Amino acid sequence: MTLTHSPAATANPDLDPGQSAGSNVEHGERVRRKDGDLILTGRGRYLDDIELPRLTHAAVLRSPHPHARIISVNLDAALRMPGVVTALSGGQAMPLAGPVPHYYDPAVAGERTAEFRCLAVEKVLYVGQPVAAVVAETLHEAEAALKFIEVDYEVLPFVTDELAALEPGAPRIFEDWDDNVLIRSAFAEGDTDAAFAGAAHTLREEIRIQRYNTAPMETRGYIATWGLDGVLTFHGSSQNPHPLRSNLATSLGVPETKIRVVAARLGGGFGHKFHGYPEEPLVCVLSKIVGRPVQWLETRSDSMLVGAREMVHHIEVAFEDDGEIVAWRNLIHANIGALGSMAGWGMSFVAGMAFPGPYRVKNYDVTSLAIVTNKAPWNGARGYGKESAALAIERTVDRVAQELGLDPVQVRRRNFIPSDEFPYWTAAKRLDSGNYDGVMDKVVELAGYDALRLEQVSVRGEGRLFGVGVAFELTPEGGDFPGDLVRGFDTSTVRVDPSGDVRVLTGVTSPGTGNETGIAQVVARELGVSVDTVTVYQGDTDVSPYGYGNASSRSMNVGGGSALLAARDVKERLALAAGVLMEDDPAALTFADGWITTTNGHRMRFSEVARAVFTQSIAIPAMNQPQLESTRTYGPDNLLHVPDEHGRVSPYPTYPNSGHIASVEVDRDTGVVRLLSYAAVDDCGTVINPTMVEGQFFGAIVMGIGGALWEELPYDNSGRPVAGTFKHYLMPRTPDLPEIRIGSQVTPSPFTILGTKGAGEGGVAGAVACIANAVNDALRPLGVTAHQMPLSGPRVLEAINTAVPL
Amino acid sequence: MIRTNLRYHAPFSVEDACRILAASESGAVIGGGTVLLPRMTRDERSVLDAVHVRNLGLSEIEQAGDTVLIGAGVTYTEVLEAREGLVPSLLTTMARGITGGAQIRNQGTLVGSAAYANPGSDVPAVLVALDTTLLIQGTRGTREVRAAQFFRGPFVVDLGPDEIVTQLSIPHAEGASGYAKLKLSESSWPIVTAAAVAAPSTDGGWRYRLAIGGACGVPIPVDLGFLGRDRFELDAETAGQVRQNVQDTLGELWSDELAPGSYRQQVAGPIALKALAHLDQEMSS
Ligand SMILES: Cc1cc2nc3c(=O)[nH]c(=O)nc-3n(C[C@H](O)[C@H](O)[C@H](O)COP(=O)(O)OP(=O)(O)OC[C@H]3O[C@@H](n4cnc5c(N)ncnc54)[C@H](O)[C@@H]3O)c2cc1C
Repeated sequence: MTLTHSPAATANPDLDPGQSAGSNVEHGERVRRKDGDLILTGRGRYLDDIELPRLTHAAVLRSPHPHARIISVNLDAALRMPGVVTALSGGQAMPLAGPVPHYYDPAVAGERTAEFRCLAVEKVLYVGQPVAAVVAETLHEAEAALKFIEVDYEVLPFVTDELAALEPGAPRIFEDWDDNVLIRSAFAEGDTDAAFAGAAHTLREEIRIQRYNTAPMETRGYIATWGLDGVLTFHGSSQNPHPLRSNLATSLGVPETKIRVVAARLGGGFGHKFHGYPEEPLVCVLSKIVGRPVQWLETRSDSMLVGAREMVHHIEVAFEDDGEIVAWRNLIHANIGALGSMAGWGMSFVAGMAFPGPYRVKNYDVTSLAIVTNKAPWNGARGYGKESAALAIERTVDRVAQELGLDPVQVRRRNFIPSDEFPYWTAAKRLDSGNYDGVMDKVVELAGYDALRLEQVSVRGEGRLFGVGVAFELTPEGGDFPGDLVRGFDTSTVRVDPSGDVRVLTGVTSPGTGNETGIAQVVARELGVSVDTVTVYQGDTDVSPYGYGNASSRSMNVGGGSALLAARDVKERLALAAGVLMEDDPAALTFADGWITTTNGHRMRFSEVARAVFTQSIAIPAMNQPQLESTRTYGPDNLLHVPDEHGRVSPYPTYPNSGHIASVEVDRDTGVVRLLSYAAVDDCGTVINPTMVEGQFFGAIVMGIGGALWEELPYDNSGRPVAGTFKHYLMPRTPDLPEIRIGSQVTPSPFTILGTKGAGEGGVAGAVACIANAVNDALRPLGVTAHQMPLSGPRVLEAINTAVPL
Repeated sequence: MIRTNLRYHAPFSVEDACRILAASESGAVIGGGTVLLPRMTRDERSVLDAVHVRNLGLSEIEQAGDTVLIGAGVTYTEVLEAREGLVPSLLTTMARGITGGAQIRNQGTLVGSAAYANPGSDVPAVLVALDTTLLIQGTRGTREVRAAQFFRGPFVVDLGPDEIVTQLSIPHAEGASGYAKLKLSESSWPIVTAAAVAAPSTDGGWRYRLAIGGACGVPIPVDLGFLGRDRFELDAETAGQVRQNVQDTLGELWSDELAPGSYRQQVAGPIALKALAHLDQEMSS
């Protein structure tokens, strides 16, 4: 694999890529990542590197059954095992910890909900559900003792298939619900039935996306320690340490002031490290019991229990002869497993909300059903339902093109929302801005689309299956969901020391994306100092202001935005001081390269002025602000919760987008897909640091490719997950990938202070859809489609086998 | 994490190794450990006594008359680095394609792979195609088993709890070879493998052998008698016959989470033809 960034594809080729970042610059500086050297040289410390005195280790006994009543749990034999310090059953844990609070509770959306404990008490709902725990001196002893816990189960009928779960007589996952549907989310505009009735053409497809997750390099882990002062310190691989602290306080019944959460270096988050897991309060309870620090680490197979994305789209599209799409109808069945307290179920909502993507389609009727089953619960997964929507939308756009014999690029252009129609309302989104044609132009050029089509003609002539895939992705970002601690704004403090060094304390966290570097760049540019003098503090709830951490590509928008506002405040105070010291109008001073300069060329070092504020304020008349610190909260303007006159709201404020074109060859004999080329152009608004944005985009594309072709978490007929290692769950490796060429276009958001729209998540959805389209394009001469993801050899060959022999 | 109170042994004689295994409630031989250790860590295999082959003097590749002997400690890298002509080219081609990268090639042994008998692995079909004999030693002495009989089923081999495979004995009669394997992606276990060998026969012609791995629980030798002893031409008719013979020979199909048996059955023919095409190429050069 080669990764290539195409400067020719930037929005403004005249723009010097060496320019500084900031509110009025489209492409910022390629500053090296602040912790990059540390990580590359193996000095980055992760959760398992934390050494605490007298640390003990927890192991969790998990349910072997997909659905069973717990009759009894006997810990006696386990307690007698060497090294064992304590053991705990669900019944014993009940008085020690309340239900695990939801990441966001469906009840907040007025829907059903369910309670989950750190250890199952009466019933287990999925294979892998925690049932009991052991704490021992070593992990070896803790795991060895698990075998000696005796659990008596009454096995119950189970259901893992979402359609079977909808049957009237299906086993009910939650006995107090009258069916297995958590939530029906509906998104509609216009008159869909009339549009279908009046359209020249309609077609219908069933498109399935498989259960798979994100497989971060580092799995989860938590360490809890209670101090003699009653303060709980919780080290955890968490994307959202403050909300986790709030939820731990609720679950444990401890004042929030008595809890400190420190987010460990994550080694990848992708939603897998959103909170709501049973092991979070569990380690706290265990540590309280044993009076020593307790650590729990997720194994790789534990991490592969966590599901996401499994959905079926029953989709119909209505269209005219010229390729205009006039209506969509879609019924989505999402198999969300046994719900849990994590953040996964919301993906079913987003998959519906994302319609009608980047297209100006005024009639649609989309309903998404979140169906509970006896599979392990979902957590968030990069793409967060948008990849599912993009797959369904983009496959049907291609099918429209195919039916009409039109070029898929043309059909997309025919339907794009025109640039001059922004902000553009859909049922549940107000799209901020965009130039979709511009992105398409660039990716068509970057991919050499016309040449690919010519190549296709000649390769097809040889009887080979060569496909070109086109896809366009629209990624709602920065979501804000009132009623729970998942918010679209955040808070940062900017503090200047007497030395002139700058500290930024922010509520957003980094899963490893490098956002600390971007935030430092924004502040450094505002204050006119070197990025090296700016240090960003994240993830420690005792250090940073209350914030919502990392989710939904929000970090630069709101972490960077709030830091910018705070930096402006501090700059104003420094300007006042410098104005007094150099006898000039504060408003006329310039801050650059570590100097503060007056209109007539007098200048003082930034650090001198900072020191003067600390040492001379009050003493010098008019220098009366002895403090260089500000805390500001910032959220994008486009978060709309008060319904407009049509009753519309928009919980997502920004809408980055990207265009993708790939070519593949399918081996007719084996169905195995070989990726030949990949090009993509993204528009995430203002780019603070192109290197970081490109890194995210490359990674997202590869994650999308993996999901499109290989990654899967299947279950067997006995309700057990069968993929537990990377030999079962096939991640892309370098030789699987072609050269990936990327470019960018910048259409700043008019609603964010930096013009940013969010980068990080974008690319996954486009890649899933693009590969699906490329493979199906390759299969076209056979007259078959492959709509069951992933498009692995067996799946594609199954489709090939349905071809009618000539 | 390994859950037993594991005892590690690195004895200096095969006899001692067999005695330790015989006395253990649950013993296992460690070759490179690339399969065994992760399985123990994941609690898929419970072992009390692990007996390492490292000090047994079995890390050599030796020529012994018409055969080449490959010791139980020999890794893929050692096969790749063997002096030219010592090991059959089929083994070299196979070793080069092991997907675990340098870590697995430097550590994993051919014998370890054979003893594990994962249908989705490279070694079994190759050993069958090369008409390999496994030299086995236990507390009751030594014995020899042909590869085609050694593999009894998926993950099941003809080996007693006190026995160690000491060496692979491969007749050095390979004239040319061809190898093909189908993987779903770079990190995938092999789904179907095909190993083809053309051995010069005493009468001046060729004897062709083909074995298919991964399609069934054990490697399947496929009859290529119809090719005769002459240099074959891989034309449509031959290809059709090969496909037919492959299909006729496959027994109970192997399925796992990566691919169902029906898929393996369908792709076995094309993969066999790829191996024969490589063989054809090698014979031509
Ligand atoms: C990332 C990765 C990639 C891999 N890629 C491939 C691949 O591409 N192709 C492939 O075929 N395999 C692959 N493997 C599987 C495996 O590593 C190799 O097949 C390897 O050769 C196994 O040998 P070993 O010496 O490490 O076996 P070990 O782990 O030492 O042993 C395996 C089994 O054989 C037994 N055993 C070992 N030696 C003896 C002996 N002398 N006598 C009796 N019993 C013995 C052990 O007790 C154990 O049951 C891969 C594994 C990993 C982890």
